[in-house]
Amino acid sequence: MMKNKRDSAALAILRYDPGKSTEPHYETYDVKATKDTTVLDALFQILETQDHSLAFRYSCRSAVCGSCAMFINGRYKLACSTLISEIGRDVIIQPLPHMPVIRDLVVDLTTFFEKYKVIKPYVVPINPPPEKEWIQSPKQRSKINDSTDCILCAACYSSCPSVWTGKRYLGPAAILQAYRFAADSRDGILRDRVEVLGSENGLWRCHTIFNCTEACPKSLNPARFIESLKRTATKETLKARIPFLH
Amino acid sequence: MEALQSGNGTEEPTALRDDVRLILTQKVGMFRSGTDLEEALKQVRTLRERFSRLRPIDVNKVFNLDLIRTFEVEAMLELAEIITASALARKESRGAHVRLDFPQRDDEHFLKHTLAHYTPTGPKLDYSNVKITRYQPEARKY
Repeated sequence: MMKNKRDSAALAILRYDPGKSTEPHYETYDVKATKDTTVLDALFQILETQDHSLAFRYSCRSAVCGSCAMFINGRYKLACSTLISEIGRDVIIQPLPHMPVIRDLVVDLTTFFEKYKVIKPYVVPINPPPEKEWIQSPKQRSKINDSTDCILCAACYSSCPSVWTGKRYLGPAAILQAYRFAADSRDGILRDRVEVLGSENGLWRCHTIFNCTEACPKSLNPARFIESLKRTATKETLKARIPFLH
Repeated sequence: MEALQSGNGTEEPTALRDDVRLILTQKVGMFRSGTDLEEALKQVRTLRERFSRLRPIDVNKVFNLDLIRTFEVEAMLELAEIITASALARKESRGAHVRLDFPQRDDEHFLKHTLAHYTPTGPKLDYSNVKITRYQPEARKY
């Protein structure tokens, strides 16, 4: 690759358009990049001034929506929060690995979100719900700290070897989200959640490889939440089967 | 869609977007004046006219950012014209609409909602009554 000056960068992007017969291939673009230019800025530059056919997902541009997760220089990154000046001015961009590609950097997240729906990603109130304000103490809230910060970018899911080999495994993101609701003081369906999570394609497919923890662009630790749920699931199952433990 | 694909102009949709952003930021912000608004309206109309001479846009239906963003620019230009024309017609100051040439509120003529209707030659402005319930309009005295 060419040697870059301080105000430019070379982006090699893995391109693929299923509507054309060409195989996936890299195309390289030279862009202007100051010390404040993000990878997403550079992608916009290419789209607007060099190649109108480039496809990538984006929305918030500030690392809260999770749309622009991609594989940048061999790391799981959000394009919007990755400065070119910090990762070197020769940049290789691939779509999230192990995911079906729709076009260029856009991958198919249908299965990812189907699995997310399976864990019921919402609070199902304890019965009967309180009549007035629903108070959650700081201590109760602290139990779900961090787990609420997941933006569903699918980086961990894409990095997980258990997902690669077990297509029906829920995956780290869905289980982290399950923890977020199972550990919520207002949630009333722990038994049902444990049922789903303890099933064949749930928790126990996790072999604590910790790729998810390394991949997470928000520096979360999905593996920790999965382990915590494994303990909860074991306790709940024992309680249900051995009545005198109640 | 076909018209977009067979466009034979050279105009770049995102360049028009950058232009309309600049015009509205400079001339149609919170503090406006009749002369600025008139000028802005003229410029926005020129942009809409330029939009009809776009370069060909690919209409591939698979995650086509170029097409999506072209639609967005079209809507932005239309809305920019509506905002500017409405602001020009409202010869008073009210809330975040501050006309430097009409600093007072004018309830007699403008205690109204502005409605814009589509016509092939540009937006047509109309007004409807305001239903006032609990809070009466009053001057800001702080």
